[in-house]
Amino acid sequence: MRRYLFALLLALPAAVMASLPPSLDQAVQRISADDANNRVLNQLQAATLALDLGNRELAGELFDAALATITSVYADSEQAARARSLWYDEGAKDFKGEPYERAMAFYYRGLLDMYAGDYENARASFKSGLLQDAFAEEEQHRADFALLMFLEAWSSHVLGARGLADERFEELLTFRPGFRLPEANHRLLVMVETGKAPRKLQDGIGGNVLVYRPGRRFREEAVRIRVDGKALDLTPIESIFWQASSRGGRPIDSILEGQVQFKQTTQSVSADVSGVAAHATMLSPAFGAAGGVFAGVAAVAGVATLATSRVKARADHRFWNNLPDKVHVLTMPMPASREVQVEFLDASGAVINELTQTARIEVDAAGRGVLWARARRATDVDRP
Amino acid sequence: MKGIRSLAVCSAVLLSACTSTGVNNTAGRATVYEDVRTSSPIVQGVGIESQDIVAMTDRMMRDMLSNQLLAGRTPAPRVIVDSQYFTNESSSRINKNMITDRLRIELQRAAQGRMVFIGREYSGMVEAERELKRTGVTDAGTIRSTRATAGADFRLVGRITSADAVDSSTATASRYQQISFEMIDLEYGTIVWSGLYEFKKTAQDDIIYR
Repeated sequence: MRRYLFALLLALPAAVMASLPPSLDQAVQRISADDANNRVLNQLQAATLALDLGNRELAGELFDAALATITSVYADSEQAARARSLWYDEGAKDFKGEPYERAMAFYYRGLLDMYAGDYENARASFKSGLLQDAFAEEEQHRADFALLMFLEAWSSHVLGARGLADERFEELLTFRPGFRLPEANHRLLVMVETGKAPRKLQDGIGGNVLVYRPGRRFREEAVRIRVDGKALDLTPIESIFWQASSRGGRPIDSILEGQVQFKQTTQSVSADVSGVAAHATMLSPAFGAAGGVFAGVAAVAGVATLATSRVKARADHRFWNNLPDKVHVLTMPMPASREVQVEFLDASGAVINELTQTARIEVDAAGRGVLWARARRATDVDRP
Repeated sequence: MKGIRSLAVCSAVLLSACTSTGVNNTAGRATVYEDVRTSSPIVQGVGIESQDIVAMTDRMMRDMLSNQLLAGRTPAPRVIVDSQYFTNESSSRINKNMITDRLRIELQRAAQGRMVFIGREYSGMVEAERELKRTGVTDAGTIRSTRATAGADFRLVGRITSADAVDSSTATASRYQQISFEMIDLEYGTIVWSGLYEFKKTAQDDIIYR
């Protein structure tokens, strides 16, 4: 535990640590204070908060640390073997997130690269994120993360790699027919997030089944910006809830199902043998030495009962709680004004005044701009 | 009888399973130096790692020095080796300077004057200093004065590309990486030397993460 705290403290400049807002300071402290197997989850949540609060240096360091674990391969790992065993919940494993969460970690890493004007590494991040989505069990939903596809193509577009951009934009249109592709003179990307993170819930017998539900208590569904006297609607390009809930069953689900079956079998063995043992205990004085055999049977029943009570088959329902529900995008030529008003609309098209905000376009040395905003603070989250 | 035997087997399995415990690694692991030329046994992925950078730059360096068009000229040619025209189109995030810096430094050490390296990346700094000298803010220094800074004969360009594949039935991920290096004649536009480094890595994560 101390190792992680120490490593983090070494990684962060003292001045940065000293000046953190309380909510971010708390989120960073949680990385070392919480269980070690939640480290990546806490890093991702703290990184998102840091990004939301404009501390991109810290956000970058935290996303890098989280991605280092996400991309490392757990093979012959004792810790992973433990999470597979009968005696531990799936939540005993180191959190690396489900494919949609891993993909979103790459999305934010790429966003930070775009802010830094490093579109080549941004493109690498978006490509890597897209690969995470290739692990979906349901074939029709494999690698259909349109947001990352679009961002990969956009990165190639602003880098002047026309062939690579066209190839990806063409693929994007198969998933989002009618999507308005960027024109040659577009240099500004507007990206706005709405809603709250998909929630993971335990369902089934003893919570062995993982189910997804949309985030709660938000009503923004669409985004509009006002810049240079014009009102422009953004296109919703990705539903994170859809990405979470459409991947299909996971291989680990079969293991959890097996654990439930084992539990049910041992329960049944325990009940049957307990019945025999109970009769044997009553009758043992009459059977004399044979009573020892029944005592052994009772011991087996006890072991079966103990095993049943110790079998853990609950699915891992830890989730990255400050992700959005949807992401909306717009590309355009660079406007004269650097200040943009961002409005959020509900399902009926009415502006939700309390969410309206002003955001600033950031332009790199090569004249490429990014405007990223989110409807809600990264501290406005649902609890499991 | 058969029932009692299976019950005994079941109890033996249960008893042995109950004794299994996880590995206690809470004490952590002390810092150790690892060989940059070998794959880390602890953290592995399918991206570009230290041993790949070391191996590729070593090979490119040897190849360049054995090329007479580059390393056999008199006077020694002036070359630029930096990441300006070295593009990353792959799915691996990387600081390209790690490749070009190592290549330039190892090349310069091994070339023994057969090539002259130009720090075009620092031309702004050089121009600013020359301006200070020429306006009399500072003196002229002790080496010499030249009418202009050095022009280059050759410049390194290159590209990092990758092809990824995921077998969703086994969750096996593989990445084929190709890193191309080329030296361009800055007057005539011809390519005087080319080198290619490629490798493929395959990995399969534990089932709990698939």
